[in-house]
Amino acid sequence: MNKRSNRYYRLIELGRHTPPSDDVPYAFQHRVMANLPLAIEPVDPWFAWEPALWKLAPVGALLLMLAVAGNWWIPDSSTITDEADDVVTSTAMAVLQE
Amino acid sequence: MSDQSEIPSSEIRSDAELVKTVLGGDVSGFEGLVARHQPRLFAMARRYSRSESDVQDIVQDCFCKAFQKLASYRSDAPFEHWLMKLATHTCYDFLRNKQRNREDTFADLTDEQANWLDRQQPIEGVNADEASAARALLDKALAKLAPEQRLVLTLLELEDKSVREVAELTGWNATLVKVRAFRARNALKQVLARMNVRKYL
Repeated sequence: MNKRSNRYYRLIELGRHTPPSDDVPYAFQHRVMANLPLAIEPVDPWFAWEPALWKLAPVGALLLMLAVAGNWWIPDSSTITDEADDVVTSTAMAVLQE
Repeated sequence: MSDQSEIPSSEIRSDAELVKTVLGGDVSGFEGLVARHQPRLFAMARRYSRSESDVQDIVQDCFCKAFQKLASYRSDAPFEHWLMKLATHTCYDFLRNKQRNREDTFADLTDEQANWLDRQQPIEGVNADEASAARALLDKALAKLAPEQRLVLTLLELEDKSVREVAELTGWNATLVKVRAFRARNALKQVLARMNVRKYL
């Protein structure tokens, strides 16, 4: 192991073996209580829904794109029906005329 | 009077009960939560700053945020986990603010400190003075790292947490934790190597 790594591991080991103190200054909790904000933030219902909405966003976008593409590429069904009716009518007229 | 009655009520009530009390409108219940968890928060904050006033500000800020966001705490997980996550974010914010406001860069570690580090062989025999010197040296080296690098090294290497635990505390994904840890280790090794260069120039 080179000196550079050696120093790194030695420093980390020293840090592990010399944890900082957990001493609390006298009456610190009174200071905290005296400086508390006045109100507790109400829970925002959107906050709970936000992650789920973000996850659903790509699916929604995909569905929207499919809907647009569907409208663009697939011919209007009413046009097909009208054309079919015209074929039937003209055929029937031709038969009747004969 | 029985011994039980002499114990403050916050001592015998669970965290969940105290949270419920505070949310019910009795703010004094929060003092029990502060008294119970403040030693852990002080120990954590002292990992990120050697200035006692900064440490106190970090802990106070953390409890203020905890109070404000208390309604978002869900009792299915221990309160301590929720609080430590909040404390981790508070410490990270502190490091970022400190870096933003820092006017001068710290000098590299001195030759004396480099020599001292090289001399430290048996870790078990570290006395109080040496422990203090070790913390100062570690703080000086870590102060040269970016906030996210310092945070990830402190949690992984010094507090011995797993990648999954660090990911939960920071909100980063496991891959990001590993990448940042890798960069942080290299950065710290470079900091330590720089003193080597100075020593032999």
